[in-house]
Amino acid sequence: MIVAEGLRERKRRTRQLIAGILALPLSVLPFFAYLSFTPEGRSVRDRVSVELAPPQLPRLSQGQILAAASRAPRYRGAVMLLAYHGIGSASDAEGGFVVSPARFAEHLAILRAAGMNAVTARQVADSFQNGAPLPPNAVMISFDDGRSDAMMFADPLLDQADMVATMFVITDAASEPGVYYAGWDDVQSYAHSGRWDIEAHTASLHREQSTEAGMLPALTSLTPGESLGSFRDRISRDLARASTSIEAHIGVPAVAFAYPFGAYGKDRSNDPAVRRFVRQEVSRRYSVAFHQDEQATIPLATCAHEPLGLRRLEVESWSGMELLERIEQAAGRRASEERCAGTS
Amino acid sequence: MPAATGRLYSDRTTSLLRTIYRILIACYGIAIMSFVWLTKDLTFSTLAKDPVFAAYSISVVLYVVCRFIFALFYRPVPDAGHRPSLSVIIPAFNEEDGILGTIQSCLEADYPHELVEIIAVNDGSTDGTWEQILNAKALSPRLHAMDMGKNYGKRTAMAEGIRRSRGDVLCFVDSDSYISRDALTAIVAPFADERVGAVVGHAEVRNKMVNWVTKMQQVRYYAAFRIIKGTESLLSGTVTCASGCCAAYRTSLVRPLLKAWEFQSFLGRPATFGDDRALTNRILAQGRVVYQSTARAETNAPTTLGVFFRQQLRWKKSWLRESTYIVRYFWRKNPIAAVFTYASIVFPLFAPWVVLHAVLGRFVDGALGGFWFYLVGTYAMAMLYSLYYAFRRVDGLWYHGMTFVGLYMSVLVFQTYWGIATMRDTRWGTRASTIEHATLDQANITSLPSSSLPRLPGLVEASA
Repeated sequence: MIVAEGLRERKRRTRQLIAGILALPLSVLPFFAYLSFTPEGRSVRDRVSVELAPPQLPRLSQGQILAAASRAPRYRGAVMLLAYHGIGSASDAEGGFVVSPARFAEHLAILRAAGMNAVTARQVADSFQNGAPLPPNAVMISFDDGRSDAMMFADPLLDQADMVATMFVITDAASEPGVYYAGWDDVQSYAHSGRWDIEAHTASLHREQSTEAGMLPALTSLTPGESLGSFRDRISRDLARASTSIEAHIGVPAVAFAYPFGAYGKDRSNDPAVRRFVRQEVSRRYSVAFHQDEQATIPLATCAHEPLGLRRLEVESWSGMELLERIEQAAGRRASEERCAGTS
Repeated sequence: MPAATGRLYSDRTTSLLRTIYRILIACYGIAIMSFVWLTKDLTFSTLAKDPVFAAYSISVVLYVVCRFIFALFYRPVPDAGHRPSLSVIIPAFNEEDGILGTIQSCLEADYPHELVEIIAVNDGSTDGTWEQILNAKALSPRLHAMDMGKNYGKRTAMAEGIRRSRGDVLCFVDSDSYISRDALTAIVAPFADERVGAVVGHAEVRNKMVNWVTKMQQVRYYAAFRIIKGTESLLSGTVTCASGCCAAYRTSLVRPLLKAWEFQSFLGRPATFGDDRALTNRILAQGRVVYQSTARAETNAPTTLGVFFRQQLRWKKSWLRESTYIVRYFWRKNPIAAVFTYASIVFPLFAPWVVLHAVLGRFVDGALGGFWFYLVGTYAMAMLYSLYYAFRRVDGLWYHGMTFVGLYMSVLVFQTYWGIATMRDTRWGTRASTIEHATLDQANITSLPSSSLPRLPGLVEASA
């Protein structure tokens, strides 16, 4: 009897021990879930992965280099404008606007192999306004929003590729950083690396607001009961704040602007007069402004285009060769240069 | 003897496996701490947006991690042959099943028999407790059997035991606890240091294998004693609760306090529970209270959730009551201990709000990620506690620590305010016992004194 009791007790203890050992690997799951499925957890994971293993430019094969060179568009006095949003490991609220670090690295490697030269928005502005020369086969790599993941992953790759990029920062978000947006400390140190041009993306108008016509971008719509005069005041004050903020933190005034959501008043508005006011306010502070209309027919940008309505190609998760193909198509749609300041 | 050889071989394998297991656990713990370190940017970035929440998270993490680090340096006082005369007092109320075992564990302790008396006080039990005490008395004349005649409450039973005790050191053992053979020699060792006024032993759950409620308490006890009491002990002997299951006091310090402690009132009500904490804190005001991990005891823990919650509420109320007392003098103690103690008083008051903020904030203002961060942060802290147990005790019970933290975060944190609200309700909740102060009727007391420990010169029996 006592022996049987002792045996049962022993069995129970053994079972408990086994359960305890099995529970060890299971207990990792919540950490894993946090790092994989929550935005902040992913950000932590991204940070760690960049720190432990910075993304590397891929080494292209001889065949790839030859293919890129043969595909390479050849042009002067024009620039291909590219728009990225986030770079990261997973899709998030912004859906398809996230390109993986590996894809982005491939894009840079192919662009370099094709002999493209990266320029900043400031260079584009300088060229279109003052006739400063652009390098041949110029390409502007730009990011919207000031997302920390984009800068974190892109920076080491830009360094390796010896390229520059432009970040359009939502200045209020940078002043109050969270998981998603980089703070001024980070933005500043990226700017000082010389690889980043920091430009404006409004102070707080990167949002939609409710109007009688539904949710519309805050920059291009009147709130219920808002007069055009007070609308103008509102956006004027916002753009002024964005400019002051950038100058205060980066040391140089912003010269370029990216319309939040690419909306500048042609559509996604509830008043036709908005477009004119937006244009006026933007023109008071910036010499170039970018949107993403009509993706199917994006041309190379030249000084012949309306400088406050320059069109960028929204880059998706394409292969490097697909990207080159798009640029080639754009080069075929190049406008004439008759109206350029520098040439006239 | 092939069986013996096989046994030896398997012992070796077991110890090797144990070592590997421990290394794994240690690595896991370090990985969790690194994870916490990596999320620091996240916490600091929320500091501006949500200062109270972020400051709370940072302080709690610091508090927990510092406690762990301090606990690593804790060492028990080695036995250097210090053998003062000792009175072991066992107050008992309706404990017929366990009392005999408790008394036996004390009788079997390897303390010189002529130096120890064991006083079992029956506090007017309505079951066979007194008969069991008499049975024990029949087995050993070293037992001092005492019956109070009617139920007065645990404090009165303890106080009467103290008044009739003759030892230089008083050791209290709860009637549902069992001490190990070397517990008495271990528990008196720290008293060799004149500054030490009280010593608390290490308690574990005796009925830990019964169900998840007791398993969870086993992990909780272990962490509470080893980490919390260990740290407090290390910091100039500032343990704030010498738990009743096994605690010893210097008699010369207790006697002058006896009346005040026995008839302690709070908010106009008799302080019926928290006798251990109350006595400790009064000793701590004038001396050191240390934890002695080698003085091991086992105690029976509640086996149902209802009883467990009621016990926790009772402890919470004692803690609240005694906190109002210790805040007045703790700043004069070891400064680090003071910071820990004041923090441990403030945190539980904040905790329910932080829990509500984290859970509801998500729905109220759509606070970015606060909820998930809070959840994983809590999980990480719970894992550290549980892994500590896993490291020290290879019995597979560690993950029940997670259950405890889960219950703590969902129910027990809110008990603080429930305790404040019902502070004047001084019923035990777990047993029916007197709740009013009453004067002892000496005529009704049956006392069969111990044969050991002759009356020491200079010690006056209070009843005389």
